[in-house]
Parts: sequence; C-alpha cells; structure tokens
Amino acid sequence: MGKDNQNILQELETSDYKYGFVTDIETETIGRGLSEEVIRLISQKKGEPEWMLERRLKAYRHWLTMKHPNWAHLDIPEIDFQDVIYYAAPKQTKKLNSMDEVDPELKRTFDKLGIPLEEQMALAGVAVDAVMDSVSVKTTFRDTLAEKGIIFCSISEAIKEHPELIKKYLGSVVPYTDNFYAALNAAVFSDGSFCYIPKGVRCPMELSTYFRINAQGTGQFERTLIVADEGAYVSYLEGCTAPRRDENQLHAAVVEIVVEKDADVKYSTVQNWYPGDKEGRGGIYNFVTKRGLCKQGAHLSWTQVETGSAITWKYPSCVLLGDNSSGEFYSVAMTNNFQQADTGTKMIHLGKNTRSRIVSKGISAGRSQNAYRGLVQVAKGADNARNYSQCDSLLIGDKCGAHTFPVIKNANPSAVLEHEATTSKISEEQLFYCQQRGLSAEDAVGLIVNGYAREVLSKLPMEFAVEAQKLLSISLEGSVG
Amino acid sequence: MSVDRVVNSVDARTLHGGDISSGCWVIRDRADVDVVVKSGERADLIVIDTAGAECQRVGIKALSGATLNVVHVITESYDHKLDISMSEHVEVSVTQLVVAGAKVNTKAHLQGAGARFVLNGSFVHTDDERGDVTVDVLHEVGDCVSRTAYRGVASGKAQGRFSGLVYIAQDAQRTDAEQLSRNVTLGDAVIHTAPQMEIYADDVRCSHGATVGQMDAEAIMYMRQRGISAADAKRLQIQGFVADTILHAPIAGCGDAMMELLMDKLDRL
Amino acid sequence: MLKIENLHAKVGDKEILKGINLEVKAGEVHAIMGPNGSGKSTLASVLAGNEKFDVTQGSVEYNGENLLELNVEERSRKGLFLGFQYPVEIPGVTMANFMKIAVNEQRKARGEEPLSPAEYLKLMREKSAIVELDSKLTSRAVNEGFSGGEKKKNEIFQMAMLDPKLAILDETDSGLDIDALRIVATGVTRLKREDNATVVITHYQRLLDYIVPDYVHVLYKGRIIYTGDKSLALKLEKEGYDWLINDYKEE
Repeated sequence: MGKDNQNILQELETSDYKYGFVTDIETETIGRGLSEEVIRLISQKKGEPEWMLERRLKAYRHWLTMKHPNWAHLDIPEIDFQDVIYYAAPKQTKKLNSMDEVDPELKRTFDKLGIPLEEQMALAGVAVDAVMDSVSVKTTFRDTLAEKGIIFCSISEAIKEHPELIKKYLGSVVPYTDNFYAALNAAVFSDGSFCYIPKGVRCPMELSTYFRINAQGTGQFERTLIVADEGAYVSYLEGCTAPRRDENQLHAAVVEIVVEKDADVKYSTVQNWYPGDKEGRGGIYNFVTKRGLCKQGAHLSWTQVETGSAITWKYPSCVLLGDNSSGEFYSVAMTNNFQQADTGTKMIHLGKNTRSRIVSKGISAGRSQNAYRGLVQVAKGADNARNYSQCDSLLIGDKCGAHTFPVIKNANPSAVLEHEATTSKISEEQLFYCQQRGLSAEDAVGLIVNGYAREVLSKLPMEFAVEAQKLLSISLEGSVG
Repeated sequence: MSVDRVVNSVDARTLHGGDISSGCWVIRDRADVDVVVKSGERADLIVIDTAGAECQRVGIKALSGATLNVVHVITESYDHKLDISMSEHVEVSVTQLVVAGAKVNTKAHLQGAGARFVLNGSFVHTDDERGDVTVDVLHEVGDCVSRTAYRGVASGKAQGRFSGLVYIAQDAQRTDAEQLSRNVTLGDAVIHTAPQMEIYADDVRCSHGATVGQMDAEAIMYMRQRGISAADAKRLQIQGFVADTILHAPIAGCGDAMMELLMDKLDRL
Repeated sequence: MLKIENLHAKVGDKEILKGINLEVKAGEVHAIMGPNGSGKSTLASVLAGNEKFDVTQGSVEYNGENLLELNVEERSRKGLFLGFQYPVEIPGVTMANFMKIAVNEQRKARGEEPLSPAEYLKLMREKSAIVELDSKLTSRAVNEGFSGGEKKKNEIFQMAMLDPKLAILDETDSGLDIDALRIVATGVTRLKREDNATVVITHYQRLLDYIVPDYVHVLYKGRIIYTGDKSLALKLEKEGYDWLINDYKEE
C-alpha cells in the first residue's frame, strides 16, 4: 500500500495495543492444576477488576460441587482436571522460517481450500515481518464499526472498558450453575470475543474471528458474548476452514448471545477440527455450551458446518423467551475415520407464538459415529408454539453409524410440532449416473454430498459457503474405497 | 368397565403358556408367560392384564413362517412387558391399547430374514395418570421390515411418555423401518416423545417422525358444517385419532369391544 | 329464503367475490356455472361460513336472519347444508357415529328429543337406500378409503339424513361416472320439496338433465354476469363461455 515495512510494523504494534487485541505477552505459565489460588493468579495477570474475580471464584466454588456429565453414546476417557494447565499466555507458536518447514499435509489442505499464501503463513506460524493485507483490512473495518457505535473486541478488554455491559449480560444466558463445563469456564475462561450492537443498528459487515489476530492461539476456555440491542442485526462468523492444530486436548467454551426485542442475530460456524491421524489419536475434545436468549420478536439463527474433531459435544440452543420470537438451527456434521460427533440443538419455547426450525444433515463415513440429539421443549404457557425439525443422515460405507435421538417435551395443548428423520445411503443409481458422465467415484460422492447439504450451506454467508463446500469434499477423502 | 368384554366378544381359548397353533387364544390372569408359535402356524392372541396384579410379562417366540396377530389391552397401571422374537419370514402384527397410567415395554427382535413387524398402538391418559410406553424394534439381521405407529392423547394433569427405538445392527442390510409417534395434549397435560434411531448398517431405508398437535383443520370445518360445535368437533376428532388404531385391529370381532373400552376412557378426556 | 346483496369476499389479500347478487326462494333449484377460478367454490364456502374468507362488503339474508352473523355450526343447525367439492377424511370417526351426533344437534336446535338408537338405525337404513350407499360404509371412518363416487354419494346421504332447508352442492358431479351421476342426481331430486331449495354449483350440463334448474347463473371473475333458464346450460355446453364473456366485456 505504499508504506514501508517499518511503518507498518509500528502501526501494527501500536494499534494492536490500542485495541487490546493482543493480551500481555508473558513467558511464564502457571503450573498444572486448579485451585482458588490459580484463579486469583489468572485474574491478576489479566488485570481484572475485583468484581470479575469474585464472579470467577463463585463459579469455581460451585464447580467443585458438580459431577462430570455422562453421555451414553460417546466414548470419553476420564479427564483429569488437575492435569490441565489453566493459564497459558497466548504464546507465540513456534515460528518456522518458511513454508517449506510446514507439514506438507497441512500445506496440501491449505492449497485445496484455496487459502491465500499470506494467510497460510500466518496460520502455519511462519515468521513474517508484517502481513500487509491484514493490517489495512483491520484498520478499515474498525473505523466503520466505531462510527456506528458497534463494539467488537476481546472479552478481556470489554471487562475493563465496558464493565456495565459485561456486568449486565455476562452469564445471563449461560449462568455458571447451568452445567459442569459452564461452571468451569466461568471460573477459568481465558479470553474470547465481545460484541455489542446498539439499538436499531444493522452491522454492515460480517464479524468474524478472522479479525482477531491471536485467533490461532485459541484458549481452551473461550468465552464469547454477543449482544444485539433492540432492533439490531449482526451476522457473526466463527471458526475457519483451515485445520486447527492444537495440543490442547480439552476445549470447554461458552458462547452467549442476547437478542433483545426485535433484534436479529445470525451465528455461523465452520469448523474443521483436524484430528491427529487416521487412527483417531491425538484428537480434541470439544465441549461447548452455546445458547441464545431471544426476547420479544427476536430472531436467532445458528448455522454450522463441522467436520473432524475427535469428540464434539455441542448443542447450540435458543431460549425463546419473548412472545413472537423464533429460532433456527441448520447443521451439517461430517464424520470420517474414527471420529465421533454428538451434536444437535435445543429449542425451548417459553413465550407465546414462538417458532423454531431445525434442519440437521449428518454425513458419516469410514468408521465414524454421528449422532443427532435434539430437544424441543414447549412450556405450559407457551401458547401456539410451532416447530418443524428435519434430521437426515447419510451413510457412506457400511462401517459407520448414524443415530438420531430427538426428544419432544410438550406441555401446551395448542402446540404444533413436527419432527421427521430419514437415514439412507448414497444411491448406486446416482453414483453410476455421475460416473457415466465422467466423474470419478470420489468426485461423484463429493457432488452428491454437497447437494445433500445444500439446504444448510445456503444459509452460510457467501465466502464461508464456498469454503465449507471445499471442506466437505476434503473431509470425504478416503471414504470412497 | 370390564376388559372381559373384549375377550367375551371373540371365540377364544385360554392359554397358559406353551405352544400356539391356529385359532384364537387369550392370555389373562398370568404374570409371567412364555408362548411359542409353531413354524408355519397362523394364530391370533389376545393379551389382557389382571386387576390387582403387580406386573405382567409375556414372551413370544414365533418360529419360521408363522403369522401372529396380537391384541394387547392394558387397563391396569402396573408394569407390562411384551417380548417378541421373530425367525425368518415371520409376520407379526400387534395392536396395543393403553388406557391407564401404565408402564409398557414392547420389544421386537427381528432375527430372521424376511420377518415383518407391525405395531399400532394408542395411549390415553387422563386425570393425573403417568404413562410410560416404550417400543424397541431391533433389526438384528437384514432384509426385515418394521412399522411402528403410536398415537397418544393426554388430558387433565396427566403425563405421557413415548420412547421408541429402532436399532439396526451392522450387518442388517436392506432393512426397511419406519416409526411414527403422533400426539395430542389437552388441558394441563404433558407429553414427552423420543423416537430414536441407532443405525450401524448403510443399505437401509429408515425413517421416523414425531408430531404433536397436528390435526386436520379441514375436518373440523366439515364437522361444523354438519352442525357439530367447534368444541365437540375437536373432541370427536381426537377420539377418532385414537380410535383409528382400533378400527384397524387385526383380530376381527374384538374391535367393537375395544372401541367401547376406548370410548369410556375418552369420555374422561 | 336466501337473499344475497352486493357480496364481496376475499381470502388473504385477494378479492374473489366482487359483488354477488342472488335471490333464492323456497321450492327453487338454482344452478351456478362458470369457468374455473370464477369464485364458485368461494361463494359456497362463504355462505357456509368458512373462516378462511373475509366478507368485506354486502349482506346475506337467510329466512329473515343475517346469515353473516352466525358461525359455521349455527348456520348448519338452521338448515344450511354444504355438499363439499373435496370431502375430507376423518380418521377413526365412523360415519354412523358422526351422523348420529349431527342429526341430534339439528334436533336439539329444533327443540326435539334425540333419536333412540333404534330410531337412528332405521333412519340410516332408509336414507342410505336413497343413494344406494353400501351400508357397510357407515361403519367405516368418514370418507376414509372412499372412492370419488362414494364420497359424493356420501355427501348426498348426509344431506338426506339432515334434511336441510337450503342445500348448496359444490361440484357434486365432478369425478363421477354415468351411474354414480345418476344416483347422486336422483337422490337430490327425491329430496326436493316445496319448502326447501337447492343451489347446484356445476361445471357440466349433464347433471342438470336430472336436476332441472329453475335458474341458471353464470359466475365470472367474482360476479354473476348472466342469468337464464335451463336452456342456457345447454348453450354453454355447446358453445362454451367465450361468447358470454365477450359480451360482458363489451358492456
């Protein structure tokens, strides 16, 4: 852009600090294990105000009284909570000197996904003096947001800069009492995104975690809070299609979304948890509590495309508290090799005239197990609730499994709820047809799978949709034998 | 309201266990019974529960090529178990009517290719009854067909629960399974429904559905045009919803008696 | 008996009836014909009181009362019968049971005692004979598994059971073969008296060979554009609607 490297570097350093995107660089870490002392240390290192420390301690004390949940269909090995490091500064991941030092498998994936070179370098941890595009993009969008009064920063910064918003909303959707991991997270969360859209404001761009420079150093215990004030709109993207290499075995994140009266939030996730190897070793346990609270007339839409992972356990849910509020859930979950996925959603109808819609497409290949677990609950006072759920499973090969466990709990006579699910495999006829037109078996399967997932993919913001499609194709590798 | 009238309406022999050959049989006053339907036989079986008992278990083994129609009427609120094993080319059709706050568990093991299992059931819970109905259909081998359809109505402060499992083993290829759970709640009643599928084979056709409150509005309009009030039309429609199962019961003759039993219960909605 | 003045009705945002004027007296048979989409079924539905439609203007007087103020079942109990174009199925509810309740509602509205089971059975046998309806069908669920012809016969059977003052038959002849048509039509004619009236909505002239109308109206785009006698029906059958519509357009 015409500036020389030095200037850019300077700008980078100062602007980063100004917006607080990079937390203090520390070289020390706290030893393994969890105790009140560790929590105090965490809070101190982050420079948090007293009230925040109090909240953490309260959550920790409550966590001590809770038991780890037990889900029948997942094979979760015992997790020793004292064997985990609860605070590690976002360390500089080991810097490589050039792309040649990058794992060729990883590079191949990057290329297939069409990720531009600069980004590849940043993601792979290659030392660069400056990533030019990122800087300019970052600066531009920050200004646009600031003009509209939109706040988009890290939670750590928000705790310091916008305490009144944090105090009002943090924990209002997923309180620490909610479940085992929510309590743990509330005690030790490292960092995450905070986003606030003022009344009546329509956020002009998709907000994405791409824009947080230390996205690659994702904490294990991320905490995200998104608040759309009355009449506001925001589309938020999480994740990236590039494989996440992570030594952290355990991820217990919490995502809270508050959708005030007549507001509209769209939350999209495209995640590729790249498991260690084809034998399923070295994978990641991903326990996420994601929940949105909808006030009157509010609308929340969850869209996710997930592949890989060792064990994923997440149920984005909508609490339809306000009258005339509505929630949607669109998901494609793809498993291969030895992966296990247990995903689904919860729609809780509390207000009157609420609506929810669930479309879940599971694709299982290899020796994987893919389970959908959903809950549609209609409370006694939730007059005229409407729900439609469709959960389909596609099996590729005969060694994988697809399971569907929907639960409907209805306590109101005027509710109209409908759930449908089908399980099938790719038809021989479809495959033959494609192959007769010159496609390889693998390409044919890829094409068919994408068609199968179309309804969900069409809900994603454009760029994400393109990447997601590629991601699905890659994830199918080796499944067609 | 005596469940005896269901039995009295057909010409049936009482069965105390053992082999069934052709004809119509009744199991009643028995807490624990095992029955075998011989190869190639066609039989009808009516299973009734007994007042004052604590539980009832009926185990049925249907040998290859047998055809069995079962009518299972539950009027007492204790635990009931119906366990059916099916060999190749066996056809079993079960009609189940639950008009008490009972726990009912039905398991069908499809163990031979070509077996076909059909279950149509209805439960009606009123006042403050608590019901718990489970239907597990286990496709242990391939080339079998199952169809399960359960309808539930709960009114007053009753609570109904339906759990259905369709399990398809890894080698159970070319399975064709369907499960449907349809429910209506009235008043302060609550219904939980959880149809489940666990599928380990890929060349299968398997679907399930669950609905709550889906009733045809056109039918209400039709009835009102014939002078029936909106409230009565709705009530009639719900009665029809549950009675539909009985109207198609496979054992001729006991249908009317079951209807009466059902209507008595529906009057309490 | 029936006086419709300037009736306008819409469904959603779409206006379908755009000013209907019609008068039907006791003892009369009126036929309403017209191309598809002209509003024939809508008129029938609106008169029956289907809440899907909104009346935006106009009035309907029925035996001295404001019909529009009454709801669906109230209109029925005052002797208004609609023979549906697509009779719906009601699973699990037997014809016999359904009709028993309906008949007794009518009787209650008239201040009469409900029928005893024996009396009711007799009535059913009598009336099903009129339309040659297989008595086995009465123990089946309403319209379930009935063929098109059986459904239409079933409508007339119900009409016979309820003995209405004003019967509106919506395309009762559609989908019927010659025999079924004859049976349905004969049934309707046998029920005709000096003190009741019938409005037959139809597409085809052939029904009117059996049910001879006193008046034939042509409904086009939500209005009655022409009224004639039974010879009009014959002309429409031979020449279609174009000549009439063109005339209407030129006015």
